[in-house]
Amino acid sequence: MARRDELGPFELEVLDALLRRSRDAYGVRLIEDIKAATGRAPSVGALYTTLERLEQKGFVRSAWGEPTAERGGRRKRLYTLDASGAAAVQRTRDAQSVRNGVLLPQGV
Amino acid sequence: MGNSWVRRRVARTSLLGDAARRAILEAHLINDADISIAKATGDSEFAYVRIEDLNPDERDALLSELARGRDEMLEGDGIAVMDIDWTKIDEQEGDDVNRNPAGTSYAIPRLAVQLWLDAQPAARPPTPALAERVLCLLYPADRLDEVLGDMEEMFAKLAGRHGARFARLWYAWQVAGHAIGRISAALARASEVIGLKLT
Repeated sequence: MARRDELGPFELEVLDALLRRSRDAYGVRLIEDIKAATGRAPSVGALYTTLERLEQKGFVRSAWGEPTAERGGRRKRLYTLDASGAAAVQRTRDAQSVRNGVLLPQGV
Repeated sequence: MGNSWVRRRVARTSLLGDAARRAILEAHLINDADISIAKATGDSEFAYVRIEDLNPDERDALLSELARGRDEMLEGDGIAVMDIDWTKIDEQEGDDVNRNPAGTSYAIPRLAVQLWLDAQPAARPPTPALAERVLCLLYPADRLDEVLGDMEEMFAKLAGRHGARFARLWYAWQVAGHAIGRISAALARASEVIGLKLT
């Protein structure tokens, strides 16, 4: 697998967060999840840029959610991981494992 | 419309008037979710939980103290029932919250209750208007609900946790990040187009 086909570190973090969160995955929740997993909160702008790129690649899909009062009546944009996104995560992990000299069975 | 609440740093126990005590009891009877309890985690920091998330001992202690309607401050700072006029507090932070105009003192060790009644809907600090306008310039109209909504939600959380000033600084910093990200992405796209033309 060519290295340029792999996900970048932050792309991987975002897709990992989407893998863990099956519902209500929108900007604020994803930032909180990434912070919980990595210990640092990404900037909101970086998250949007990455989500936009991942959506263009076909790895994630998005749909509008309901507006809420705490958001000033604005709608959430809910993201879901596409099958190709999950496959990309697996490919990237496999490639990383090979580079690190560790071969894992498929699906680990 | 039900009561709502905000998180707030509290440096010491505070005061509660009869009206607020009644409001707490009534709100508790009607809807637990309308009240937030602050649990002391350090000298002056509080993590906020809902009544239903308290353990039975804490819940009993809180409710019995509320029902007793004690007027004097207890030693040992911990539980404080806050009667806060958020419109008077405006954007002050920290210890200023404790300057309660109600006059009657009321405190319970280890927990703090804060109420933000509907009578003070303007208490939530507004997001910085200029920074918000910059965001509107950076994103297409069809993404603004997502961007402005997420920013407002996070701004409100930070304002409750660290104060309005901190939240405004955070907002401005994030908008700078948005701008850099959007400009970088546009430049990357432009260089791709130029690269394609050159080859």
